[in-house]
Amino acid sequence: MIHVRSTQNLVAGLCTMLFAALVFWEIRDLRLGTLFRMGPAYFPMVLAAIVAGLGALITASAFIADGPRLERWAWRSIAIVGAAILFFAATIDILGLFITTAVLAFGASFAEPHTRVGHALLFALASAVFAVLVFPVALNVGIPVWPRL
Amino acid sequence: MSALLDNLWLGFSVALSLENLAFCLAGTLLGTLIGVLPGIGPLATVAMLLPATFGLPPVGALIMLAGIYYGAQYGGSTAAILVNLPGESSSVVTCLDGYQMARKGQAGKALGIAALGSFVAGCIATVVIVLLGPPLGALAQTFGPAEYFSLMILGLMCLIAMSSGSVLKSLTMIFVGLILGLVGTDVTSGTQRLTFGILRLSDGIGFVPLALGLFGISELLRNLDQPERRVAAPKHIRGMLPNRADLRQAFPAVLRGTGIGSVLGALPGGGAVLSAFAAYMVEKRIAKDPSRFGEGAIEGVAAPESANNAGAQASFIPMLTLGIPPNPVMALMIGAMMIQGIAPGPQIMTQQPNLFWGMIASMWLGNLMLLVINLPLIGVWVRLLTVPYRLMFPAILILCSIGVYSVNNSALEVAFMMLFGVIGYGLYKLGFDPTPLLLAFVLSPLIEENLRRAMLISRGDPAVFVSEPLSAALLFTAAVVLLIAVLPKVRRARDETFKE
Repeated sequence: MIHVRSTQNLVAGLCTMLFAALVFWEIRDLRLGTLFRMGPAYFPMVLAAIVAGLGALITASAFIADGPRLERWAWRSIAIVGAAILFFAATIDILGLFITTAVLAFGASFAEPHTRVGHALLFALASAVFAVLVFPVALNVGIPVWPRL
Repeated sequence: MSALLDNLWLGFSVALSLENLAFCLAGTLLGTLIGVLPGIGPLATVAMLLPATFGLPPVGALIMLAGIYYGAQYGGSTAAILVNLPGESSSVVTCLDGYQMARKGQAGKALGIAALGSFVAGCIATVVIVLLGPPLGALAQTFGPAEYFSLMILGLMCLIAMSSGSVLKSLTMIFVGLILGLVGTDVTSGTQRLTFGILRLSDGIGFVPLALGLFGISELLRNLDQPERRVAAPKHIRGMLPNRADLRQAFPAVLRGTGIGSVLGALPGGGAVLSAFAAYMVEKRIAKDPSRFGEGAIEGVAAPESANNAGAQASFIPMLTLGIPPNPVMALMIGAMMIQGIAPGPQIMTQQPNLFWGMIASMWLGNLMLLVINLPLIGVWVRLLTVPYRLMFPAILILCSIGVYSVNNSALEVAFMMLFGVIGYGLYKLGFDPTPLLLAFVLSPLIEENLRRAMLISRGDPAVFVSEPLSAALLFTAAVVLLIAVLPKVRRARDETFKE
């Protein structure tokens, strides 16, 4: 029975090979060329081949040598922070800096457990004011502050 | 000799103008302030403040950016000493003994020797740059595509020596980074590569979203995940400055660190990080009582701090003279220069002497300012660190998001930053260290272009890389560096240092 001695290395190696496969697939239509006249696919192909090889080695090492176990992921934090940033990205052009910063600050605060809503609101307001003072005003960065009406 | 003095005179006359002095001051102040915040290192700081410099005159913009860079470096060291949270990789080494000194109530001494050591190193490094700049520029004129290619390979191999984790995984990160750097429009053929049909990617993956996501956001996610990694409020700082005995003990370490930093800093892939690490290892090896290290040995702070400042300044040499960024921060500087319409490279010394020598003089001034600003202000920076993390991390998020958005007014890049943040988090979970990825990403288009040109010139003969003496020497050194990284003894020692 094959015994996996490092779950972390196993997943790492497999992900690496997956990445290489993705690259191979995406450049499949490009011209390869020769060493003398390298086409657009040449360098990526060589690199992807090396990455695939390294991935195979890492995967193999998962069976040969002891290594770390795979840890759990903090999905909650990722989801909250991700949602907050994606909201920012989606709406900054429409809603302007003040509102989106406030929402970002408010939403992200909840990634930390035991956050009180009142505190988060206050913090969001302060952040928005601060951001507007620093970026468009002090640093002269061209971001619209208010929603486009 | 007189030409040297003339150049220095020119440099100082540029740097001492009221306007440029103000930029220098603003840069070092801002840099230290933001660099102290955990999770934001010199790279992120320079990236975030880069857009603010677009409206400034070229010389002023670069002076300010340089000030931000080593200001952030020192800010990162402050955080490393006081709360064991390195602002970025080069501060990791400072954490080892600096934090232990702080825990023994000697934080003031640690901070003081860090500042003084950095200043001395900065002075010496400035002299080194002044002396080495022109000859290196001349040497660079003899570099052909084969030599540039081998130089970059050497740089990448040095990266492996610097990153934690297995050599296999570091190599993987390098090659993945090389691939990511190729995303976009191929210059030679005009075709789209690896863009998956996304139009915005035809200019390639943005460096700022990649850097901030991979290092800033991922770090944030890790800190949220594991509260133990975070800051504890620092205790009261006593014994503000190092006394004479401390200085005498630390001085040789400062000199050694400066020497190491000046050499390693100029290497591609080197810079502050490699220098700090190497200086610490050297100190530990030659110390009469190595067991002191890791417990609060003052040499353990003096050497890496001097080395990383010397390294930071020395890393300007290849950037200004060869046009090659030795590390991601310099890559940003090159980006800034190009936006201002300046092309870095060997011709810069002759065509833009104001810029070149002005920058060098300004670097020395910046070091002086750091000393002047930071010694009295240590108390203020410390209070900044007592901000609880629940307020800190949304602030970091906001700074990063606005920063990324402001570069290209692109909301998509903000989304990319988040994506890379998650990817970076995943990479850490899988035991990868993304540092080599970023540098390989920056060098990738250059590497491909030089490879292409070298092959074109040699008509497809790969032997050209070893038949040309300079290129062969560089590749040989690269192989040696790789071997050193692989040798079990060095690896064990490296892991020891990283585990501490």
